[in-house]
Amino acid sequence: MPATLAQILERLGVEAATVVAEVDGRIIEREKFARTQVHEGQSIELIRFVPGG
Amino acid sequence: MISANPNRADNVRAILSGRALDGQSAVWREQLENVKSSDVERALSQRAGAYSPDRLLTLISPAAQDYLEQMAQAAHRLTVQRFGRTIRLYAPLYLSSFCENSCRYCGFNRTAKFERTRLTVAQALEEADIIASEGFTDLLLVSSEDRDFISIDYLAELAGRLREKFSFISIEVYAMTAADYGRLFSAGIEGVTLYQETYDRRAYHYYHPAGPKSDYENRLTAPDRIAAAGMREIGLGVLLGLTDWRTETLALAEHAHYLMKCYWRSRVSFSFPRLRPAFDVDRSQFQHLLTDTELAQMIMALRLCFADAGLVISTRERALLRDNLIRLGITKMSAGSRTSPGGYSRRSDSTGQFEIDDNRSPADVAAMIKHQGFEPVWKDWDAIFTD
Amino acid sequence: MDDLVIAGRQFKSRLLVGTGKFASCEDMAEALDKSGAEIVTVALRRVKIDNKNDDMLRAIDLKKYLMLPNTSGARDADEAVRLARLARAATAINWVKLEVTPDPYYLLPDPVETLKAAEILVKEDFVVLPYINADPILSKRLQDVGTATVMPLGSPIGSNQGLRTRAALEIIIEQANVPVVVDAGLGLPSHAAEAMEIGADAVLVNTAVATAKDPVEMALAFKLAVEAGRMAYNCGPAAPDKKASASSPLTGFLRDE
Repeated sequence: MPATLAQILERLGVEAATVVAEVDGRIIEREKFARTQVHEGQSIELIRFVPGG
Repeated sequence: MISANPNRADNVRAILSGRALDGQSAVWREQLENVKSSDVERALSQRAGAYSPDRLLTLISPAAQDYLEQMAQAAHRLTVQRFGRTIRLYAPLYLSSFCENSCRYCGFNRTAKFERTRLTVAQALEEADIIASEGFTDLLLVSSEDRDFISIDYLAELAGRLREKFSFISIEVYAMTAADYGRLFSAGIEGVTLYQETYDRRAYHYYHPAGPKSDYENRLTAPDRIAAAGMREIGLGVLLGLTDWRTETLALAEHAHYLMKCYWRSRVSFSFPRLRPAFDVDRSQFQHLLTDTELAQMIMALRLCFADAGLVISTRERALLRDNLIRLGITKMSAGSRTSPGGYSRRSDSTGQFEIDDNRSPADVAAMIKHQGFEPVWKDWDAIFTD
Repeated sequence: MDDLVIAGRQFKSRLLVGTGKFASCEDMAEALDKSGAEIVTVALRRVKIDNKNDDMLRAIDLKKYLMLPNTSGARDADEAVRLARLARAATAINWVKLEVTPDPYYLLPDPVETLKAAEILVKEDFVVLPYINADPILSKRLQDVGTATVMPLGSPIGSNQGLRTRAALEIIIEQANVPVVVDAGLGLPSHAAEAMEIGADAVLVNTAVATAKDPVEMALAFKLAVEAGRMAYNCGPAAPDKKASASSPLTGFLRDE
C-alpha cells in the first residue's frame, strides 16, 4: 500500500531531520518527505552523518 | 590549450603592482641597503633552490657581495645536482633586421640608418644548414618587429621545414596572440624567449616610445599566452642596464615564480642580456650598467632560488667571463653566433643587433666546456617521439 | 598564528579533526573542544534500522564547527559524487572532503577516480578538499580543475607512522597554489609539528587523538604542536648544516675586475 516517505520514516522510528533519503537513486529533499509517495518495488536509501575521519 | 586554474584571482600584473615592482623602487633600495651579514648567512643556510622574495632580495643585496664565493659553491653544487655536468648549446638564426619599433637601446631601431636585410624561407634554410653542420640541433629563430614579412605563416612554414634537422626550435620574436603561439606550437616550435626588457612601467615607456612593442601590458602578459599554448620552454629576461638591476631581478623572479606555479608543464629559463655597444646607439644615456661581479651575483642568486630554472648566457659576453660563469649555474649557451640576417653564409659585415664578444667557433666552445669537466649537449629533446 | 584561508573563508585553527573511532560521544565532544579545531570531518552511512537514532553527532555543536562530510566508502568517482550530493542535500553545506578509497587494506586513495570526481564536483560548485597520496603531479592536476585545497597523506590512514612521504610533501608544498593539508598517518604531535615546519598550511588528525588513552589531552597536545610548528615555520628556521667538500674557488676571476 503506497505511503509517503514521511510516513515510512515514522513507522521505522527514524527522525527525518537526521537523515538524507534517496528513492530509486534520486535524492529527496527533506521538505518533500511528506509529499513523496513511495510505491512497492521502489528502493529507499536512508543515509545519515556518522563519525568519520 | 592549457588554461590556468579559473580560481586564480591574481595575475602577474597584480603581483607586480601589489609589490611595487613596476615603478616604485625606492622602497626596495632601502630594504636592500638594510640587509645585514647575518641575514645573508641565514639565507645561505636555508634550503638551496627555495624561492621567497625575501631570500632573493637578501642574496642580491650589497651585503651579499661579501659572500660570493659561498654563493658560488652552493650554486655550483645545486646546478650539478639538478642538471648534471652538462651545458646545452644552441645557435641563434636572425631572420630580419627590418623593425617597426624605436627602442632606444637597440641597433635595429627603426630610426637607425643602415642597410636592413631579411631572409626568405629558402635563405633561412641555407643559414640553418650551416648552423646544423656545426653540430647544433637546438635553434633559436630571432627577428625584429617585421610582422608583415616574418609573419606567423612564414615562421610556421620555416619551423615545419627545420623540424627534421633540429630537435628543438624556439623563437625570439615580437609578442603574439595566444592563437598565433598555438599555431606555431603545432608547427613544431616548442619554446619562446621574450624579454620584458624592464618591468618598470615608466622606464618601459621611456625606452620603447613607439611601435607595437611600446605596449607594456601586451608584453607582460605574453608569457601567459606562450604557456597556455603548450610551449615547453619559456625564456624570460630583462635588458640589464636599463634600470636598477636589483629591482628588475626581484620583478623578474616574481614573474617566473608566477609562471612556474600556474603553468607547471613548462620550464622557465632566465637569460641575462646585458647592454652592449651597438651601432648608432648612444651609450652615455645608460646609468645602470652592471659590473661582471653584479652579473655573477644575479646569476647565482637566481640559481639559489630556482633550482630547476635554465640559466642562459649568450655570446654578448666575452669568452673568459662565459667560461667562468659555467660553474656558477649556467646551463645553456650559444656559440659561434651571428646577429645579422645572413651572417652565417656571408660571414658578412652587415650590421648586427649588437656586438658579439665571444667569437670562438662552436667547436672551440665545446672544447672549453669539456676542459672544465662538463659535457656539451647538442641535443636534449626529441620531438619525434611525440609525433 | 596567521589565519588559514580555504575557499575565501578564514580559520584561526590549522588543526582539522576527524570524529571517527572515539570510544564515546563525550570523549569526542571534549576532544574536539580541546583541540581548538574549527573544521571537523564526518562520514555518511546507511541508517541501521536496529540502531536508528544512535546519533553520535548530536554531540557536535554545528554552530561552533564547520562540518566537513567525507565520501569515505566510495570506491569510484560515481559513488563519491553521489555521497557528496547527498551530504549537500542534508546540510546545504557545499564543502566536501573527497575520499575515494577502493583498497580496503590500506585505504589508499585512487588518484584517477579522485581527479574525475573532483572535476565533476567543482563544476557543481562544491568546495572540494581531495584526499590523495603525496603525488605532486596529481596535486597540480587537481588544482587545475579548481579544488580548494589538496590533502596529501603523511602515511596510510591509521598507521600513525608520521611523514613517510616527506620528500614528496615538500615538493607539493613548494608548488602549491592552494592550501596543503597533510591528512592521514600523523600519529604524534611531533609529526604534526613537522608537517607545519615544512610549510603545510594545516593538518588533519583523527586516529591519533581518538585512540589515545586520554583523547582529550592528546587533542590539546596536537593543538599546541600545530601552533608551535607554524610559529617555527614563520620564524624562518635555518636548514640543517650540510658540510660541503672543499672545492677550488669559483669567483677568483671576479677579483680581477
